Amino acid sequence: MNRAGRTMRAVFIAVPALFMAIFLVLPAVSGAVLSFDVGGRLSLGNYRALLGDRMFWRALLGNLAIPLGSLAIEFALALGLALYLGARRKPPAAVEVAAILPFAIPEIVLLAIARYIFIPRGYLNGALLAAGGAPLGWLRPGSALASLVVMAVDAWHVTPVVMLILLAGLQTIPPELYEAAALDGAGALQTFRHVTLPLLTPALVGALVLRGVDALRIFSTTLVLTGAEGTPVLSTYAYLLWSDSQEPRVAMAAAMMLAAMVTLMGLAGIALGRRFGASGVAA
Amino acid sequence: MAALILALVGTGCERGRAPARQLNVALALFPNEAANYRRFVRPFEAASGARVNLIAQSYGDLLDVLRASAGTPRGGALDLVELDLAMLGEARYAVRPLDAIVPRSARALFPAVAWDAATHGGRLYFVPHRLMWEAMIYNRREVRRPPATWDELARFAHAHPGKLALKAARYEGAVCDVMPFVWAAGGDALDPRAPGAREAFGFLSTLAPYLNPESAVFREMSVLEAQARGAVWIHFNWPFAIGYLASKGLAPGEDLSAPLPAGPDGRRATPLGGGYLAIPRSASHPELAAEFIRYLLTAGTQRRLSADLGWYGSVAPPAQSAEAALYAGFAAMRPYVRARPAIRCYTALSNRWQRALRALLFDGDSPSAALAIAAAGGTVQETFAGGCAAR
Repeated sequence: MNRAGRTMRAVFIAVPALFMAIFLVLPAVSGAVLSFDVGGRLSLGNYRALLGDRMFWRALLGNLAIPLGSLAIEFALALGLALYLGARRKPPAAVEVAAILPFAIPEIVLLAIARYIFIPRGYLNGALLAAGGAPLGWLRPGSALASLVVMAVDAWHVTPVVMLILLAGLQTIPPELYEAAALDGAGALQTFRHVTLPLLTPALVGALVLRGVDALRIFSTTLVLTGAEGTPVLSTYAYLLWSDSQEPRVAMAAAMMLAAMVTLMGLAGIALGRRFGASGVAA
Repeated sequence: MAALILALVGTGCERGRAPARQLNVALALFPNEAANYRRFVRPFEAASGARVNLIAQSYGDLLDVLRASAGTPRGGALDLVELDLAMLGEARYAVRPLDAIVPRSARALFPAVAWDAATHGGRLYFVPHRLMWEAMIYNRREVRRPPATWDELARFAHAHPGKLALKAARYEGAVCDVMPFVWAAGGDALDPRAPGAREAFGFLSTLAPYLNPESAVFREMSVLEAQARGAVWIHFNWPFAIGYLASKGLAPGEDLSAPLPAGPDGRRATPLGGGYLAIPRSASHPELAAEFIRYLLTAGTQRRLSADLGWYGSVAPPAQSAEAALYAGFAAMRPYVRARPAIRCYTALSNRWQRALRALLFDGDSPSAALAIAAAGGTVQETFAGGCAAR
């Protein structure tokens, strides 16, 4: 590499590194310090305050249960859609549009639509009443039904992303393998189990890591649909502490807990990616 | 915050080309209120020859600006700042005393507690700008006679499960919803261990199983929307709630206001809320700001505030008017207005009451266990001796 190339390489490394140091590392370090600040002294007081607050435990539980439920729904839907669309040379345009549309709509618009659907006098209860049924408290604070609605809406929004990743994964599977499986007399289920699933594993793991990290940071879906205390998760809990309770230090401690969860998930994802990514099948 | 900076830059630019005296007034106004307030200040501008620059911002941002400018002796961008009543304890250190500005005659314009809340160590630091207090909002079609006592309220709650709600908005620390009960039982916001607080929490615990589930969200609008769609028949709120319901065509046809229920000894109480004006220590034009305050504190100006902006803290709506019918409950509560503690650690205190209320109503804690959360080791003076960060 000549001198100009080396200079260019240094610039391309230095600029993003500087950007990350200023806008990512410095705020993160400053936030971490703030989370230990109690009246100007460094202590674990803010973390102790968190552990003593029942709402924190509720938010932590919500932050595990809601992403897990959301991931289960979106992977089931995305896999089904990807298999359906991948199996057809020319899938119906309406299905393609319906599959992609939720991700094309800005999040806040989608959530506002979802709210109109699920509020007590929303479209869904209107349909239930019209059908002779009784309205339900879909967003009733603290209820399991509200958590399910949050999971479903979150999954609805991001299913297209997972579907596109899986669809791309499906298209890398050589058609000869399906022909060979058919010649060997394999049925649809056996073909899926022994051909599609193993070769789709890298794409599945990639999507799982990407969405797993993202799902942990769930914020606006719970905030818009049920309010911060309706289905608490760590990000809305931290937001509540910061904005309404005006406790920025404790809020930062909550945010640090969430950051630790996301980092652990990311590291686990990288390890998982290394294990499954190369071969497609666990060694 | 960005809008505030832009507005300040804007007024700074204007200063360059307009030689007239300028008064920068930062108020927590909604856009529609700002237009009305703009009209309201015109007579002052005509009389004083000064231009009033209005900067509409949230109370929180205004307090932040005040904090940031506290160390500046003079030359700051804001001449007059509006603050929420709950912020007075914290803001006192950044504003100028106003004793010399406020004439004795002006004291009669507002309830005595409103002035007490603005006074510390015998000195007046703030002037009431718009005052309000809570009353009962009830559905007149479903509730023929609104409950007038705790007993009647309990009977209503038991007879109509889910039709009573407590908004207990978290940013108010729920103090505004808890205190009417604590005060009505003879208790004190600063001492959760006092018998009055125990009696109030004992009563609230009997309501807990019958509360509308929206109460658990601790959002003012959630409860108000539930009232608007008829899911809630009674809740307690500020006058804006009646304005909101009226704007939906629901008041007075569906919803009206009534006094808060009286406690066991017939005692009533409602929390004082609203905005106060202060002159920052860093104000560039304190004399002009004082002139504006004197203009505000006249009977004629207060009548205009009531008529033009619907701020009834000083002057109630005219008898027999449509507004008088809408705000009857609020007018009836005027003699029972009490100020919340104007202490520096108000936010921390209110957070404690909020946690206590949540534990009592939604976590199944006993009244004494819930109050232990609010007390957290003692009176406010004892608890916050080490600073407001203590939870």
